[in-house]
Amino acid sequence: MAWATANLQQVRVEVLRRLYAYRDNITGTGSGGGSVSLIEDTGTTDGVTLESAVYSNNDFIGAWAYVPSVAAPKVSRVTQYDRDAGTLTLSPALGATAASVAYEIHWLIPPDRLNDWILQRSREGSSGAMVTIAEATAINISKFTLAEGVLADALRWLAKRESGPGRQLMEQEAAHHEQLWLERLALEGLNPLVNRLNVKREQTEAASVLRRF
Amino acid sequence: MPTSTRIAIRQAIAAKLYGSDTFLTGTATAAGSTTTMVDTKLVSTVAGANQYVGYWLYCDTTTASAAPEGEARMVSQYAPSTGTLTVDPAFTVAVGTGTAATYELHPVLHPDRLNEAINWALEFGSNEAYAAIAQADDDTTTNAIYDLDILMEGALYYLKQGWSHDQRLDPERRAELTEQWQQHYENWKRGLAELVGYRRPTLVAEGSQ
Repeated sequence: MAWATANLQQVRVEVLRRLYAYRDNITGTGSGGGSVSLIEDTGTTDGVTLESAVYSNNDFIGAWAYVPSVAAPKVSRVTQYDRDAGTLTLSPALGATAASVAYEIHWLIPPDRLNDWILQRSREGSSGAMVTIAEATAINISKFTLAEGVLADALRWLAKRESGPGRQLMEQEAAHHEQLWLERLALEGLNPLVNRLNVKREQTEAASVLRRF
Repeated sequence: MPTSTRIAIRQAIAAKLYGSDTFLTGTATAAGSTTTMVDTKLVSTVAGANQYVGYWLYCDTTTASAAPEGEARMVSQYAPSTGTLTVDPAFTVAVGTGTAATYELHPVLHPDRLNEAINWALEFGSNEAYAAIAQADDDTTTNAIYDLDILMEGALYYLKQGWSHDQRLDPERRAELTEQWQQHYENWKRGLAELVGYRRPTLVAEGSQ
């Protein structure tokens, strides 16, 4: 049985779920909005809603909204949040109106950075075969495998923003995901040479030190 | 082949994740509305009015699997004297009563995260031999799984790892969650390999072959 292919959106969602399991809103489908606003006040489509009497009006501010189906720019930053209306105000404007379409909330890491990492991991895992990836491109690597590689990158990125024990925890987890990335690649039969090189790279003290900067 | 339902798996995971003190299941004892659910089991002379505020009220089964089954809403008010929970925003359909309205109260993580964890542990752990349980499936539909206890270890690994990323938690709590997900991972990996038979590749460093 062939391994299932993945696309950018599937891998991003997989990574978002793993990174932000403690967040209520990760993905959803809007019930209204425009190029500078995103509204979800009904939750009829997917049971998720941005409206809540329990949230504060400061929640969501600073997070990135990513709307894959609109023309570029697909990314914008939340500048205001109205908890009663379930409205996110965005700046700069999205490339097109984002009413009633799927959206993603990226809490800490810019979505473009995640896309870059997915591309890099796809290129590495495919031995250079996947050079450019559009939103709907089928990547011949499982979303679970790619997510492990991207999580390793994401955790290292987050580790650099922390200090002390928090940083150590992030680095420790990044190493765990790097190991799983290699195992999953081997499981899918993808380029064992890259695997062996990676094992060597990851196991050296120099690599460990370099990753910290 | 072992089988189970998503409702049974989710409730078992939540009970382990939170402990029975804070994760509750029940059945509405009086007809509610789109914003209220009543269960006399929640009546208390000890609990404060904030006891369940911020919890997720999840309608897990209804007659004929109709709405609001599968909908989660955050509790915004709690009346200890009547056992009434008020949610905001409203459910799409009024909450029923009796067997038409069983529910779960999740204290921290959105119930969707638990369903996602179950699917991830099922697919990832079986090397994608088992398919995810479709979101549209009835929670009480029987699904094939590799083993309930091992699956739960995988889901708990997933959830606690994600939870440990919460920078609002103090460092000690995050370290505690990290230790726990590492233990769940070891249990899961060992269970999959030794009891279920899913082997993982051995990585060999260059030059050591």
